[in-house]
Amino acid sequence: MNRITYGYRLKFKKDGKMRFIGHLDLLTYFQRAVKRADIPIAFSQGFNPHQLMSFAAPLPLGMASYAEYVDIKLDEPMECEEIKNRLNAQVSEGTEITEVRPIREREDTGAALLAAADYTAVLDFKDEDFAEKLKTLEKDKEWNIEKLGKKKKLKTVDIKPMIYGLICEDGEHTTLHVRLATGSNVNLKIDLLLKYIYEKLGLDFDYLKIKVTRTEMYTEKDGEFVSIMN
Amino acid sequence: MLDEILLRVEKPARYIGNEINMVKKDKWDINFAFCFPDVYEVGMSHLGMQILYYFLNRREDTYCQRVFAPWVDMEEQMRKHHIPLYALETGEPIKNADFVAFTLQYEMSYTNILNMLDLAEIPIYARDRGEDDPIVIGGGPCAYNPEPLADFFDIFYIGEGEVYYDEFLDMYKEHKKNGGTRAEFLEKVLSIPCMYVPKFYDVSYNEDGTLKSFAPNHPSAPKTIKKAIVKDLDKVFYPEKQIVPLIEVVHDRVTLEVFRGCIRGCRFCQAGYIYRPVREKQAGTLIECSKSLVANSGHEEISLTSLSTSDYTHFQELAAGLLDLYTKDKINIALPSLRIDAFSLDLMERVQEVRKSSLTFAPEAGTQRLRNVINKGLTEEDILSGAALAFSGGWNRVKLYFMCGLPTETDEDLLGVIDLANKIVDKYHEIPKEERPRPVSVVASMSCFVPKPFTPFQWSAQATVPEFLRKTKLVKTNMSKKQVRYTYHEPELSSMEAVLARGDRRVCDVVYRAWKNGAKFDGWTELFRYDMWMKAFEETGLDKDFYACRERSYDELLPWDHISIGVSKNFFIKEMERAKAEEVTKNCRTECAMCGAKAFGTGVCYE
Repeated sequence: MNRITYGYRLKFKKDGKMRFIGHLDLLTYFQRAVKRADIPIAFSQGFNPHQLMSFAAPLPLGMASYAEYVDIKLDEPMECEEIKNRLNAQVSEGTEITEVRPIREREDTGAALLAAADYTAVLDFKDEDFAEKLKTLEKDKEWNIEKLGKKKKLKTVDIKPMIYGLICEDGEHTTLHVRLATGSNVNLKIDLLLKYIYEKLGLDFDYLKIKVTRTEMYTEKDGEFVSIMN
Repeated sequence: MLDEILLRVEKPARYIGNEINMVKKDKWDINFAFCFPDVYEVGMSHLGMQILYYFLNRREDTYCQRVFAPWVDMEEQMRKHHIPLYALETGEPIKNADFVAFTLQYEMSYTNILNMLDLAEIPIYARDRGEDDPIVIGGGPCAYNPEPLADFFDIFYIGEGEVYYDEFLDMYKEHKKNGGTRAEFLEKVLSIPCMYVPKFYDVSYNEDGTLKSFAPNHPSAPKTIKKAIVKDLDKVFYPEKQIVPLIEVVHDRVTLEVFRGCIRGCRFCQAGYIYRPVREKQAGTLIECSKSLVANSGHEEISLTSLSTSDYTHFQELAAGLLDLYTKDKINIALPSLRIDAFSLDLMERVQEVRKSSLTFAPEAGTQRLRNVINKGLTEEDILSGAALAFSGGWNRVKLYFMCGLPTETDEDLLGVIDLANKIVDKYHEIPKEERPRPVSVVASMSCFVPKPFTPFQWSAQATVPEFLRKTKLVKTNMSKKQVRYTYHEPELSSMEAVLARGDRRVCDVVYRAWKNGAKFDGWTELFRYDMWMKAFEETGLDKDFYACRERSYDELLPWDHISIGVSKNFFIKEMERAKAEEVTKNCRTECAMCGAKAFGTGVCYE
C-alpha cells in the first residue's frame, strides 16, 4: 500500500539531567511526548504498529549534545514552528527542540546520511603544554588501538584516519574539539580516542571524569562536511 | 560531584527526578518528603503515592517531594561521598523537611526504612529526635499493626490519607507560626482520631511473653485509634495526571481506581478487611478521569485497579465506555483482577492486544474443604469450566496460585493441588486434537501462608520452616504430569514476614539489629539474608517462633488491639470458628455478615 506521509527532521538538545537517560528510554520519552502534543504521527503497518520515528545516532548515556536528530513521519502536514512549540511544551528540562525542517523528497534518513560528528571533551585537568604534547603525538604515523572485534577477538585498528579534526583549547580545563568518523560505515567512539591519548601521554584515564558533548552531526557532500540539518 | 557519581551507578535516572508532570514549586511553608522504602521503579508504580503526591501538592503551602530507597550501588556512593538522602524534586536533603512520611506497603521493607533514615542523617529512634529533626510519619496497610516500627516513628496515620491530611497540615502550619515545639505538636495530634503517637502509650508484658497491658500515658491519648475512610469515593480528589517516569518502571500505565474494599471476605486476606466497606466510583466518573490521564501521560495502557475487579457493579458499562474511547487510539485496557467466565473472556479477547496470554486462577487451596475453610468462594467447577471456555477460545496457558500452611491443612489438601492441575490438563485434552495446535502448559505456584492482623486467622500459628519445606517437597515429588510446572517460595522469607506482621513493640529491636547486621531490600530474594535476621533474634533474646508459629488464644491481648478498623474482634472470632467448621460466609452483597463496618455509614452496607 502506498500512503502519503510528511517527513520532518527535528534537531534537539539533550543535556543537564537528561544526560542520564539512555537511548531506549529516550525513544519511549519521545513517543509519549508526541502523543501528549497530539501530533498526527504516522504508524507503521502490520501486526504491531509503532510510530514512524528514527534517530540519526544513539547518544551514549552520560554524554550531552547540542545536536541530536530525529526524523518523524506525519499523516498530515504541519508548520515546522508548530511542531517545535507543541513538543517543547511536552518535554522535561534538559531536552529542547531547536530546529525543525521538512524532509526533502527522496532524502535519506539522518542515520543513513551521517558521516561525521563533532565532540567537545572537557578534560579533568589543566595543562598549558597539552597542545604541544598532542603535536608530538600527531607525528606518529599510526594510532593503533586494540579493539574487540565482532567475533570477540582482539584486533588492532589504526584510528588516525577516522579523526577528521583535533584542536586543543586552553581554559579553566584543557578542552579538546574533535571531529570523528560517525555512522554505519566508519565509526570512532570518542572514549577510545581519549583513552589512546591519555595512555600515550602517561595520564590516568577515568572516562567518567571527562565531560563530553556532541555538538554537530554531518553528512559528506562533494568532499565537504555539511550539517544534516542543512 | 553528584553528576559523576550518577555515571557510576546502574540506572542513574532513578535519582534525578525531572519527570513529566513532576510538580515544581518556588515557595512553600511545609516541606513534606514522601518516602517509598523500595527502589524507584517499584515505588513509581504505586497508585497510592501518585494520589497523595497530587493531593498534598494541590495545597499551595505544601511541597510534597518524593524519596525512594537508593539501590545498593548508589547507597555505597552516597556513603562514600557523604551525600545525605535527598528528595527528587529539589535535590535538598530530607533532614531539612518538616515531615518525612513512609508508606508501609509490605513488612519486608522495614529495614529499608531504617536505612533511609540513616542515609538521611535523621536519628533512627524517635526518642533521639530533636526540634530540628523532621517529624517521621508512617501510613499504608502495614500501619494497621504499627508496633514492630513504633520506636522509629513519631506518628502513624491509620487509614486513607485523603481524610485528615488537610486538617493535620493546617494544624501544623498554625503551630509552627506560633513557634510551638515538636513535643507540643505531637500532643495536639492526639485530637485527630486516626493518628497514633506511640510515645503516649505504655506496654507491659506477662512472664510468658504475651502482652499484659497496653495503655495511654497521656490524658488526651485515645484508647483506640480509629481508621479514617473516604465516605464518598466518587467525589474524592483524584489526580488529573500522573508522573511519567523517564525510565521503564514496573507498571508504565494510566491507573484507574475503580473501588476500595472487597466484598469477598477471604479469611487469609488482610486487604479484604482493612479496606471495608466496599465503596465504588461511578463508571462515568472513571471514564471522564481517564481522558485527562491519557492526554497528560502519553501512556498506551489503562489499568483498572481494585481487589476482585469483577465485583464492580458497573463493570460492563465501564469496559464498554473505555473500549469505545480508546480502541482506535491503540490504547490497551489491562484487567488484572478478573474472575474467569464467559463475560470476562469475551472482554479480554476484545481489549488485549497480545491476546491469548496466560490465564490466572487463584484457588489458593487444593481441595474444596480447605477452600471452604479460607472462604475462597471459587469451586473446582468454576475453575474447570472457566479453563474449558478459555481453551476453546484459543488459550493454552494457565497459572494457578496456591498457598501452603493454611490453618487445618492436611497432606490430602496439598495433594489436591496436583489433582486440580492435572484436571486442567485433562480438560485441554478434551478438545479435539486438530483444534489444539499447541501443547497446554499449567504452572502451579505455591506461596507460604503468613497469618496477618485483622483477619480471622490472626490467632493462627504459621507452619515452621521445616514443615513448609516438607509440604512443598510433598507436592513436588507427587507431581505426575509433564505439562504441569511447579514453583514455590522460600519459606524463610515468609517466616520473617510473619514475625513483622504480628510482632509487638519488642520486635523493633529485632528490626534494628537486623538492619545493623546488614539486612536491607529483604523483599528481594537475592538480597534477603536469613542469617542476619537470625543473628538479630539471638542478639535481642527474642524467639522467632513465639511470633510466627504460636497459636494465640482469643482472650490474649494482641499488639494491634488499640487500632480499630471498624470490623469487630467478635466478628473475627466468629469467622475463625466458622473456618474450623468449614462453613462458608456469604459475600457482602449477598448477605451482610454483620462485621461492624456498617457503622461507617457508607458503601456496600447501604446499597
